[in-house]
Amino acid sequence: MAPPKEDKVFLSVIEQHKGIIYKIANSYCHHTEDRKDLIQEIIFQLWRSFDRYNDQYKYSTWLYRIALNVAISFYRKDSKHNNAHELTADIIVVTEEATDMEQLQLLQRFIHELPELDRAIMLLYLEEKSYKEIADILGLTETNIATKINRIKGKLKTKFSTIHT
Amino acid sequence: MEDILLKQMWAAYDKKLEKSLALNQRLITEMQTQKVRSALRPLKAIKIVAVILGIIWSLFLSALVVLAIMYMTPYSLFFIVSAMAVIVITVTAIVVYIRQVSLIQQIDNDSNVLDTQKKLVRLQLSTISIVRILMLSAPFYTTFYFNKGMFENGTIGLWVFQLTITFLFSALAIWFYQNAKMENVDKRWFKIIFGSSEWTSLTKAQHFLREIEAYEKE
Repeated sequence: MAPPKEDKVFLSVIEQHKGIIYKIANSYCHHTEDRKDLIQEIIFQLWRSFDRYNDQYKYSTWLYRIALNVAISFYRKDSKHNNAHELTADIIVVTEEATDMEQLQLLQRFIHELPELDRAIMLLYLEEKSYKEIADILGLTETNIATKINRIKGKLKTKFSTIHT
Repeated sequence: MEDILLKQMWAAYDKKLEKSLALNQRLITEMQTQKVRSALRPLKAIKIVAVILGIIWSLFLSALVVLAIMYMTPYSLFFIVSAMAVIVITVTAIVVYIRQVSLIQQIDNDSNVLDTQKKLVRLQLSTISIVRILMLSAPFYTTFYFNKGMFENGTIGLWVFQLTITFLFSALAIWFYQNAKMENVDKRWFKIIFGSSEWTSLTKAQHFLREIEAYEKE
């Protein structure tokens, strides 16, 4: 039996944005098993919210909101390892990790060291989202976003310069 | 590290991921057909058990109260009043608890991040209000067994001991109700009383709420 149209649209949205989901999960979860659970949870919550999707927003805005909300809530849970996920395989399979880029690894480490909310801002900024879209996703003003981005960039710059000296 | 370099690095990562990530469509189809449930189940089995036990306890006490009223003596008034107070407090706590759990389930993850996180954290923090309510029933557990024998044959020593216990429980319950609030999370006594891991997560939640509020003001 062919899947309903809505299912196909959902699949194609996830296919298009799988990189975003992976990057968010990777930024909030370094442990492989936890990351697998988090990816499953993000996609599950996306599917649950899919019929309520409001087309006044872009798919990416909707997706970022859900993925970040789930990731931050997941990150704040203490007993992540106890959550027995029901899927034995990965929903998003990584065939080759980007481990050969030393600078990128440093950047990921520094992002991971940021507080949860700063981390979300930095991810959106690196994804080239406009200040307006970042403000929409997070629920802050554009001015506030601009100030915070400058502050976080300053922090990252200091960290990189400490490494290189 | 220049701004442009950060973005270039991230774009290169993106490109690499684009090639190396594959979606397991079969698993998504399984999810769509409801074969997979949420890994973060908001309503844990233990919470349902707590509500059921609370209801059973209230029904059991209600039955005893009815029996006590049917065979009423002047001394059974202590039992009736104490048991009714415990029932009212337990039912209030159950109602507050069910309301909070249903509110948690209604929170949409597709609202903006700060609003959603604030709501989630506030609801998580409200768990303590249930404990505060339940603690109010403590003094009544020291009065329900007052009986004819105690009044007719009880020594002064027994009554001094009994009233001291009731007074201490009442004072403790009122103090706890007034002070066990998340605003006092950083106080030493709070950390001693609520040192277990269940409460540590509430402490973290309170700090996160402060962080969010500061974040909005910055």
